[in-house]
Amino acid sequence: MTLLQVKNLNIAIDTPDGRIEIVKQVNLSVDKNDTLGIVGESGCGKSITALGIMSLLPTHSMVSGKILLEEQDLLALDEEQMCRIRGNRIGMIFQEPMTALNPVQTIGVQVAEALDLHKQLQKAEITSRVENLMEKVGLNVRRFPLNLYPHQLSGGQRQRVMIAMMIACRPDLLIADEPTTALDVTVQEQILELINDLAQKYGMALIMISHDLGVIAQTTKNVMVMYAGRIMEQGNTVDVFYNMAHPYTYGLFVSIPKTGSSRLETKKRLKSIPGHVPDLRENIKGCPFAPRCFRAQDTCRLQDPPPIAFGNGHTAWCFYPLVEKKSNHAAG
Amino acid sequence: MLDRFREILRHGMGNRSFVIGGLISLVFFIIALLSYAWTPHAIENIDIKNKLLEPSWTYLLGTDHFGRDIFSMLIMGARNSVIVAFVAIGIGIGAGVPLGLIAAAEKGWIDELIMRFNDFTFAFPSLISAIMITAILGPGAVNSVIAIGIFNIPVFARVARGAALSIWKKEFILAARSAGKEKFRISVEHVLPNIFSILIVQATIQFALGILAEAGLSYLGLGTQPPAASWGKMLNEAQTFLHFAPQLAIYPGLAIALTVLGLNLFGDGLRDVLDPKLRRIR
Repeated sequence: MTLLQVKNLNIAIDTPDGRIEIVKQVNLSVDKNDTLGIVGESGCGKSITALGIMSLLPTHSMVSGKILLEEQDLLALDEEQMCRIRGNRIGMIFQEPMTALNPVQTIGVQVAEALDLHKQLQKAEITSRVENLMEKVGLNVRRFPLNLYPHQLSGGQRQRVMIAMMIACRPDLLIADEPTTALDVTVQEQILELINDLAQKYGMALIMISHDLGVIAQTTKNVMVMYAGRIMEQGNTVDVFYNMAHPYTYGLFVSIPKTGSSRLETKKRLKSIPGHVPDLRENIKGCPFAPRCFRAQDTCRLQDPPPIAFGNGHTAWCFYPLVEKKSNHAAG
Repeated sequence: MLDRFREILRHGMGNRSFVIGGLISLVFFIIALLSYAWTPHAIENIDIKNKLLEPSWTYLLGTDHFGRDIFSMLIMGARNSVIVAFVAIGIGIGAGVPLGLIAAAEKGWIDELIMRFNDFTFAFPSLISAIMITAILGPGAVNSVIAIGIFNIPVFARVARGAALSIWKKEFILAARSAGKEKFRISVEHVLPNIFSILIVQATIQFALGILAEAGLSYLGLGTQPPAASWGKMLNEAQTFLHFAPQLAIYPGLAIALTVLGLNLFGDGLRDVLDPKLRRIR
């Protein structure tokens, strides 16, 4: 069953340099218990999309399209109604655990925040639930009493507190915006596992935003590749990763350093995508990736690429997809 | 909270202006409090035959032209200054901080409206405006407190707004909003505690300015009225005797200067102590 459906989402912000279209024509849907990954470089609009779903964009941004949470259009809700959705039905985990907790409040108070706001509970009940949540995210209450302040915890521990805070009301949807980017690799693993476990245990759908393809591969069932505010390719994670159709997805893949192969064998330089991310202030015509694309033709620079389907929901917006020939159900 | 207090004291001990300013301010407050329990002489007692006496054991700093004990008047003046400055700051914080918080939270035209109104009040020199207000409302201690208080409002509104805006950009505010908290509760529960130290520092500075303003108004005869004592009024009365009894002007003048200096030093020190980034490495 579809939990969240985003239809034709456009987000633009007026600046002194003119209007910037940060997100253009984004469609996505997340089923109950589903996991969706959003990948892309910095500034590709993945976090903005998430903030758009939460209605937490800067006040002067212009949003159009539809964001349906079980038939309810979130964009039509006012701030007060939206406050009842946030933290209650949709939770969001942020990138920087060092700054995402209020430095002058104890962790206990902060974890209790959503419970306090959305559920009518007695004080004692809240405390026992908070303690329970702390155990769930792996923070033993004896070692980590609720009256600790954020600065007394490490980054990983703070991210656990953040997770406890956001799953407190067992939301239907959990958005994790680069939850492990600021953490070191060993902790990263544990946090990802924790998020996935909790999502499964509580039946929460998960949107995992990351620039790390490894994180996406590990945690999500479906994936969406974004570039310059547009979707480049989307589909089942396995399909997209093993059968990538868009040259941009390919470019992302070949720029991952490989650890398996021997160094003598791969004495080559690490590949990178030439050029740089387009300036969104300029009017982008055609495919935004065209200037950096090794397969680009004149058509790419003039027209918006059509969606090409490869079956099983795997779609790429490209005139010259990489798997066109291989696929026998092209344009299906 | 107690831990935090102890921590502030511990860091403060290494800060010279915090210690000196704190001591001066402390003495000032103790003297002001002392007035409730004891003054060497009642200041209402006019005793013309003992006028303009030299300092003695009975009259520690001598007497003025009405034969009143100068030392007692200074003590009562300290009390008067404390009360006026406290209430004025109370008005400033009570109205200014909420305004600043609202402006920072709402942005847009509400912010514009509040801040432009602020600019408007800022455009008038505060003492002159205070004179204008007391001239309209009539002289008196209460009216002078109101006048000084009104001019504390934009100061606190501006400081609160600026500090709050920087807090609103923090990720933990986004996290609190993600938890479903409305702007009002975020302002009170998340923003206010984080700008508290800035407000306290501003309050000590405004306290000193409040004392100065009160002295200024009383000097002009618009503030505290006789028989109550005020340092500003003492200065005013001393003016006539400046040639043959300069001590009458020197004592209240020194009291004002020393207190304001002490409070400003204390505020400076406190700012350094509260803000770890400014804390000097020793």
